[in-house]
Amino acid sequence: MMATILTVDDSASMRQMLAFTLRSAGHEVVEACDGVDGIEKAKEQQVDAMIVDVNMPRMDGLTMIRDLRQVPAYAHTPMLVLTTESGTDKKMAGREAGATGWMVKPFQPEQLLQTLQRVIS
Amino acid sequence: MDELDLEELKTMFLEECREHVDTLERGLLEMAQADQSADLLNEVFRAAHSIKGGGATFGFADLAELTHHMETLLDQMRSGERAVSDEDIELLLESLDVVRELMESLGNEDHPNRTALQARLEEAVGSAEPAAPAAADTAEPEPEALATQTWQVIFEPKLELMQRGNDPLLMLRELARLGDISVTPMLQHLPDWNGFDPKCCYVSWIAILKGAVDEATIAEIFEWVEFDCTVTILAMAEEDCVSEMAEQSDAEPDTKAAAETAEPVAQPEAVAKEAAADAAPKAEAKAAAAPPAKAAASGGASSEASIRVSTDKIDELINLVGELVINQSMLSGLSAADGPLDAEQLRERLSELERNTRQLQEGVMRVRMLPLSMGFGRLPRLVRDLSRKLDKAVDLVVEGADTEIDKTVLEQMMDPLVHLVRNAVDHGLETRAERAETNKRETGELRLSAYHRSGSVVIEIADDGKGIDPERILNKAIERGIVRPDESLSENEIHRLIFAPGFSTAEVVSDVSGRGVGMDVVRRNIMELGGQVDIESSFGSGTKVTIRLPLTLAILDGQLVSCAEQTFVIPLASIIETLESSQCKVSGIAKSGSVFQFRDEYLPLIDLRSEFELEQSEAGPLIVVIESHGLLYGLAIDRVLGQQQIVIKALEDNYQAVDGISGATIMSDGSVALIIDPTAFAQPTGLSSAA
Repeated sequence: MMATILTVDDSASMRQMLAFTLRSAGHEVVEACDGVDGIEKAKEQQVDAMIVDVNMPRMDGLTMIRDLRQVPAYAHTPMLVLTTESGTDKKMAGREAGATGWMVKPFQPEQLLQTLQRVIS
Repeated sequence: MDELDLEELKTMFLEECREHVDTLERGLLEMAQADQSADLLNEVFRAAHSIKGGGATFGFADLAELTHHMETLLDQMRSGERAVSDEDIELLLESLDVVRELMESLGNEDHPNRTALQARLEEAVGSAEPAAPAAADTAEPEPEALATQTWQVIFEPKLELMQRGNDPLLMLRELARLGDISVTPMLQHLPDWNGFDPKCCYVSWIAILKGAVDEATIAEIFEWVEFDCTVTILAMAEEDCVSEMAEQSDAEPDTKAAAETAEPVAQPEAVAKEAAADAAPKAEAKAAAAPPAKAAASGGASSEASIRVSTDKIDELINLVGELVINQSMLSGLSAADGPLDAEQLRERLSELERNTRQLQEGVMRVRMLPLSMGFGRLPRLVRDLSRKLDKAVDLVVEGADTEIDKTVLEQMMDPLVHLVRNAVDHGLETRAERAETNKRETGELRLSAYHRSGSVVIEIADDGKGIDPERILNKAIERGIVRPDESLSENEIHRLIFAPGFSTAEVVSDVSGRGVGMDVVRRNIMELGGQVDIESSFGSGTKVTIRLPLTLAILDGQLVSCAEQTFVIPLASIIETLESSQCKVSGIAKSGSVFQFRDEYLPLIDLRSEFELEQSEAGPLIVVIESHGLLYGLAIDRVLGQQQIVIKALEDNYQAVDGISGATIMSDGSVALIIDPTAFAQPTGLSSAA
């Protein structure tokens, strides 16, 4: 049940919100502030799942997911996109990059945890 | 963080917002200057996007909605669907002002112009936009009471379903949470062992679900794999239900019954009631959870002052503390060693300790330091708005924006700085036509430079405008009685007259620079910060105002003085000079104390002894002349001691506030010296100009 989850968002308040929610459910949280940092953190330590913002400086979330999917250790790891958009084209873009699914901002903590259960056992 | 401190998160979010707003403003202004590079457009878009996302999450619905509209317009620019026009920039800047005000109200108040602006943004975008996402606490509609129903869900994954991290079993488990379920796998597509690829999904499932759910809730579970599977959701009629349930009990989906699941579905009305009862506590729980969030929002007005410190600075501090610890252990080793103390080594260690301490002090000071760019950020907008209004073309050049200064100094110098910039654009620079007449470049230049110079931060505001006409200033000063007609002043002294109280040069008071608050207020504000301001001008070709500010307010250049065997500190910046009281005319005036003659004036003389009830004896033999808020007065003391940099400690924290004392400091011998507050004794005397 307990998993190590990488959260990638350039907003510190959003990261803190995510971290609190995930830790309250007993998960370990690793934080990164953009795509470049996210790839670094993911390579430092194997994580069980990722929640990734789309619009970030240096490297956006989809590029990061596309890159990490090529790493054998992450070929099947759930990578969720955190987005304010829910349009089909955005979803398709996420799918093409290799994202497992998406979560729509704003979220309720319970909602987030419940959705997460779809990808971590 | 043990508990989710929404308050703290909101404060954090608003702080981020301020940065985003600054980015947006700076970006929009650059866009207006014809820089429309993809990087810039992306950066600006991202800033709007971040405000929207965070706003919705942290309960700032109005903010989220407005920025959503701005984002849509920016997205069109970013994707190249739309050319960047002046009108669009203007509209976005206007919206940004409202964003700022919404932020400042901490989400408690809507802005009267918001909806109108949104309508204009929408119109600009060209089509009605779907509404922005609502705030988190309103996002989820109350679940309607649903009747229990039986659903058949056929889930047929494609082979590659698992290759993006999705797990069919977890989806089925989520499905199971929605009600009573029985699931049957269909294994007919399983390949031979040799042809088996563990990365592929060969199994399909049929689930029979009985619960108070609707189709959309079921479909949502599979939304991520929409293109990686086929999902068929069928509502089953009651009679079908019995037979279907019966059929699926065997391993093969298309056959028989399981008795325990075959019971008929309960009466719809009863179920509806049950479901409603279920939903009610949920709604209550929600209502109970809501108030803290609201309370946090309304209590947010007292946002605690906080500061963001780069990790570099913190790492440096940790390093320094590390060195200090090493040094300390070496010193202990030295004292613990047998035999006589090695004086040479001790001296060496102590000088190391001194170095460490100084570095640590500097390091800690740096934590409070912020780059001037944090304050300079609002100036480009100010200059743009002003120059448009006055029909002047102005190039704002900023140099040294990364110069660091204490946070409090930065905050308090902004008003004076804004005033000076305003003045430069309004009075300093000429209109296009005037510039053309004098053969100047049509675009005027306003140059803002900052740099560190011997322990101070220097900020220069220079324009290449018309400069100060000394004759006009002098005439005005004479007219106002600030200068006597027969006084002869150097050009520099004349320039400085504009800092004199009550001096205003604009013959027609324009609505830009306002009335009344003039350069004297600017000067006073800067003096209060322990700084200085000076002006240089050359008639016809420009003016330069130079502000010199202390790096920090926590350290003060102090003059030590003694009075009745007590040591006091007087801020050096406020001291004009020191006199022997025997050399000047001191006279007592009934009730209102003593006065003494200083140059051409009589100034009030304050005796520290009686003021602080030290001891009843003659006033001290020396007078320190102090200037504060533009007023002069004397303090009678016994002796002048040395000058030194002192670290200010708050008296309130350690004792209690005392009138006339702004703080305390610890001297090198460990004794405490009180710091005199020069503003406390300043009072208008009505005794100016020689009697």
